[in-house]
Amino acid sequence: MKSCRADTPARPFPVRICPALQMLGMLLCSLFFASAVLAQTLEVEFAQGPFDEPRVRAAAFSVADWQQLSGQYGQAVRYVMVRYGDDEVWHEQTPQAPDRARALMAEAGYMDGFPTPAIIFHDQSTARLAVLIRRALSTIGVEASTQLVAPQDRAAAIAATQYNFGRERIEIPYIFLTTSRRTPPIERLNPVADLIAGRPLVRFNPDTRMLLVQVPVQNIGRGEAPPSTMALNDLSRRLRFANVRVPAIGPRSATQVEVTAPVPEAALGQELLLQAIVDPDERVLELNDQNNLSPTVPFTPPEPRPRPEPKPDLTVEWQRHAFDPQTGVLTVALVVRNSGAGNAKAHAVDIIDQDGARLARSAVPPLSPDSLFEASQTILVAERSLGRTIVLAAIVDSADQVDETNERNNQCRLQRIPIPAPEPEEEVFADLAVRISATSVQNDGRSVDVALEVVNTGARTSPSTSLTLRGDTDSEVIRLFVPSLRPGTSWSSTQTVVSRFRATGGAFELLARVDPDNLIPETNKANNRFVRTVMLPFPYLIWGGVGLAVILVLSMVFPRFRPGPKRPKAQRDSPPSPKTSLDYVPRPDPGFQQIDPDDAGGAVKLEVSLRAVTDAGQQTLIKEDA
Amino acid sequence: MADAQTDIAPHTLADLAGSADMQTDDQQLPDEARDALREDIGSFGAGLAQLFTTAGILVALNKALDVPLTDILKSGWSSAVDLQPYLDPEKHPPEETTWVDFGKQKLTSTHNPKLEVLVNGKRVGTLTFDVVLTLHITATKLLVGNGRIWQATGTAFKGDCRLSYKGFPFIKKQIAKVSLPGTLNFAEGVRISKLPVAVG
Repeated sequence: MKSCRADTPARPFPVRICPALQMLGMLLCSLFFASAVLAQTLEVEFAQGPFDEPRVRAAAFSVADWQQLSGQYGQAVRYVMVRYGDDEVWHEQTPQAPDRARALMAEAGYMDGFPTPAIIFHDQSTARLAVLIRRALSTIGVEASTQLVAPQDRAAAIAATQYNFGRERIEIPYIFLTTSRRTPPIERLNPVADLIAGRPLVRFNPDTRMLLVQVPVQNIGRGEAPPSTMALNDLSRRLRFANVRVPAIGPRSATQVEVTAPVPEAALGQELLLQAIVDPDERVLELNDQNNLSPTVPFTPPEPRPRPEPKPDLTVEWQRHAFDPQTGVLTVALVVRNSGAGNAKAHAVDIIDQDGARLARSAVPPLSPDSLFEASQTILVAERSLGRTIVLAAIVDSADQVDETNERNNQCRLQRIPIPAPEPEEEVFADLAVRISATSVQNDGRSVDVALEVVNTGARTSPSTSLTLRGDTDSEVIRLFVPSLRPGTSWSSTQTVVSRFRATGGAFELLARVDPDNLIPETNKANNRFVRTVMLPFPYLIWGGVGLAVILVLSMVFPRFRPGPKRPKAQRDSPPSPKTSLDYVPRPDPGFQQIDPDDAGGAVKLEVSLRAVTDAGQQTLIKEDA
Repeated sequence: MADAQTDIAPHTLADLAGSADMQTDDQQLPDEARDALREDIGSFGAGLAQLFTTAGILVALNKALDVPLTDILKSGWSSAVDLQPYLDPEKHPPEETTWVDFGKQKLTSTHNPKLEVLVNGKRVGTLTFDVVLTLHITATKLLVGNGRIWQATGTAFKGDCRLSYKGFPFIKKQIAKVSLPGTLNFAEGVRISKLPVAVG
């Protein structure tokens, strides 16, 4: 399409011809100039809605040959001036291009036409043209109605195409046709912004008590909105907010404005009524100033939450350890700390091996925050662990008695502790020494009470053994059981030895021997034997008795001298009292089985048995490598 | 050292220790253990040491070792580290049951059986023995659910059993491979013990 801008109609060319023809030419020229004078300029104004898009305006202009349609009803149109706001384009030819029109509509996103109908305003000069243009526009899907307006009613008719629908500004696209005169452009068609404030989104941080309000601000106008301000008001009058700056917003664009403010404690739990207003000072030229208020949003900051109860945090540190090879005891020093903010009640700290088995436990008193407790524990190291490295660890509150902030730091690092192998012991022996510590002769002059003492003076525990005590070489030997004796301990016993009759008394030799069978290896065998001599008194009583017997015999021979009355015969013939002895009776099963008390043997018998006691034991399970 | 019989499945600790198979003569006990036993029995009363024969002591010890093998295995499995994840109800809901195929495990069981010496039914002393049973479990399958063990099958093991008195060993039994027949059913389940968590 060829187009040009022209403020005045084109001038006619001057010609020189003969007078006869000059008259004819004058006639023709007059006819030409008359037609030129009658030729008019058709003004077409596209505005609002989809006509803000240049491609849509070009498509609507290409649906018809405006000059040819005007000529159909005898109106010669020389120029067609297309106007959009202050923009004017003059067309000397207006060829019809329906295919191009449809392509432009498709490019602009209106392949099926406009979603809203359009209005074609016309006056009396373009009344018939308006009908033809409406028919042409229907070929690209634009349904239009025609409306006749008087020149003085033009502004009012155009204003009626804009109205508010809720918070939105609705504009109906229109085409204005006239050949009467050049109409001044509508100033309101220049792009103008229109700011609206959306629904505020409120967030509250209870820890910092800060209120964050996000307000979407949108420019729904056709012009760019310069930088402005936004005010946030609390209609409940509990909070006051400072105005915030709103950046420049392009047409059909939006931004988000944030307002933060601390909430005083008195406002917690109270309902706030928040409403935003954009451009409160009305410094931005807008299409609609009545839609700058946002909806009112109620919001209640929550009441302050109660502070959680502070919890303790128990840790254990392995301070040091020491192994005593003499006793086989490992002494471990531990420190239990409460690094939390709360008090820890009484609990325990354990020492466990690498299999998790508990080896020792110490009670830990209640600990206040940032306090510590030093514990010392002793572990008897098993003999099988000597010469090896044992792995131990300390764990506090293994029974989860204390509620802590961190339950995973209750165990210290694993400790690898080498246990030295025991040094080979020197060969040591026991040494039993027997001694007769005291003797005393009884009144009969023959019985001697002997106090015996056996002492282990060696360095090793002696096994149980026996001791023999003998008086005269031909007298009876007394054999005693001597129990096992630790180094430095002693065993003592008192026995009575009866010597054979000695008519005149005199020396009586006592011989005590420990380990007479020589079964115990000792460092000194010489002290296993002890000899002590006891002086027996003269047997006055014996001899006195003999004399008395002689007197009795003599008295029988000579009854006159018989002393005392006769004893009854029955009393003299009474049987002697029975002897009593001890005897063991082994039983295969436990339980006392009464023995017949009338056992002819006359011995006191004791039942001896063994009773088995089982033990469920302790089990540990370790995963073995494949 | 002798191998345990594998023809008959053992039922008790005594079966594994083989104490019932011991002969009655004193020659089977080392001198140190025999002397220690006689010395301690003698300390309970004069003349008692001569009353008890080694055979009699072994017969009574065999009764003291009457600990069911099932109880030993249950106690060991209940503390298995591999079963700890089945205590987490989020990973394994209570209604879920799972067959867990154990790998090779080493089960160590320590016992202290006792023999009480009675005179006229009154205890005059106690003899305490040390028993260490080591089982190398080569295979087993456990049915686990709701934090408990419900069944065990395919259990096979080998190992050894050692008895000693006051540190003097007197029985050391090597256990050849044993396969427990059938399935062990635990009516009320064996509760899996929660083990302490190792840190660092």
